[in-house]
Amino acid sequence: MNDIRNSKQIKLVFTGSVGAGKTTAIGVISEVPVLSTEAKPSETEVARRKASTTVAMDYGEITLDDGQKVYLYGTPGQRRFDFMCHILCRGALGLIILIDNTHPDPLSELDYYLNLNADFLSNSMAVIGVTHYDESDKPSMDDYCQCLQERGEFWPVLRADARQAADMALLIDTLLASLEYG
Amino acid sequence: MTLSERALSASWRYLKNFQDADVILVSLDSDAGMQFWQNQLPHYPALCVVACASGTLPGSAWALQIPASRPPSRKELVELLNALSAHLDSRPAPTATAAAAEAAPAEPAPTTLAADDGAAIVEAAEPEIHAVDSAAVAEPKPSQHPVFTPDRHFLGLLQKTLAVGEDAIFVLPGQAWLVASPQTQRYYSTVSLDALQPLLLAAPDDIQSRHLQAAKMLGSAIGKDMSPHPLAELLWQAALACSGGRLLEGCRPEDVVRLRHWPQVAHLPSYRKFLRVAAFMNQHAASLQTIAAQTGIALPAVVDFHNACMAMGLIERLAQPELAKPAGNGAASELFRKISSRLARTDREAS
Repeated sequence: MNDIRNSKQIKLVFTGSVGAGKTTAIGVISEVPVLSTEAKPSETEVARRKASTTVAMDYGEITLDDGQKVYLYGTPGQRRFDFMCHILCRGALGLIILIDNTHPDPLSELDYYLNLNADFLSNSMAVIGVTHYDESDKPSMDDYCQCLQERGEFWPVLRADARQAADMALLIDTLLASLEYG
Repeated sequence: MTLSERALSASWRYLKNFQDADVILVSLDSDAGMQFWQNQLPHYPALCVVACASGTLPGSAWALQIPASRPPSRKELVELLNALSAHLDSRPAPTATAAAAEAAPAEPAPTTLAADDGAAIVEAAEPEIHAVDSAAVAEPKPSQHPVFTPDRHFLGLLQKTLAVGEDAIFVLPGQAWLVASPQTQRYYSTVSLDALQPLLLAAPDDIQSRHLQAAKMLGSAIGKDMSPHPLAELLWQAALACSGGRLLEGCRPEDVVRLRHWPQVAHLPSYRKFLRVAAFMNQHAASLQTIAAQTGIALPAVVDFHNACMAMGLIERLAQPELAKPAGNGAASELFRKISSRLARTDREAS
């Protein structure tokens, strides 16, 4: 695990599929207005789903009671900006992967983001939040667990609504508990 | 019933007016009876109701099984009515609240039985509202049994239903009811999991259950006001409700265990209590004693979590411990607690 005692920044990174709610998630827990880099999507599939999407990063922060800052970063969803993921994950505490369950193939999306961040995850932790589950309950949560088991990975996976601060707090708490014992 | 009169310990008579009835027999084989059971019964938690059906009603105290080939015999009816009479006599006097809830008659109400055709089966009409009979609620008695035996609780009935794979309806008369569907991996209820607690705590003998063998019966059993919930959450809560820190039968504290995967109960209030145990058991295989020591969570709570996960099929037993690295990093733990505390504040502010 990254040695957080030597980290200059305490940061958490939100990644995952386009439309999963990364920008929204940061917005509900950040105490500062989210700095967002939205633009018209260039990828056809993304353009079908959203009128605008993150192209560089989202940024938010929270301040702990002792004045320390926790920085919240969101990665772009379009594949051509995947390199940002590696940049943003450097020195991060852990990764929150949000998967849109209304995507045509959510389990492939999960595979994709786990593979994309394999290096980071070899030394850190992730939690997976399945969003839009109220709109589509297929694949089921058991399917996600099965998918992780087949990969030989055991990241916590939870249903989550990116609009709800409580759900995002639950995801981060789950990540922190995993970090504590990882 | 007239023929049975001399064998009965109390005087019974049919009433056409349900408002005067102490006991109502409901035929679950009829559409009207089933509709009453589904839609009306939950609104009248204190009614003393007998389920009558040709299907099986395992472990039910107030049920009359109707053989498919003949009407119920006089002996069966006598036994049922005498048991009901004893039950009614043993009920405590109504409290002031209960008395206020009842439309108390000037004279003590006779022990009555309502029926529409003399066959001791009622197509029920609008029933009387009684106060909740708290004496009828089964209390968990963890101290009586050193190990946790699901068969002594609702959990055992639920697990048998899952094993059979048939949808089923469970009723704690006058208290709570639900439909469990292994087919859809959902349970259906008009109330929250918290409000189902009396059913989860009840002994099997106090619970009436019936398998719904055809898919269309599930559709008819689920009322419009019933919402579906994951069956895993019911299993989790049913185990936690009765576990009481006692280890599940057949398990030992020194067993080396870990989670197969993360429990899907994040939206239940009890989730946070067990978050750290779940995180530990998701990454390490250890004995329950070691898990308690490493996480700083009391052993009975670890045992409760283990039992609930076992009920959901999430526990894997291993021959040897697998502790990847020493758990707990003081500085990290402190930081994580600060972040959690800050997020909790955000959550409170948001809500």
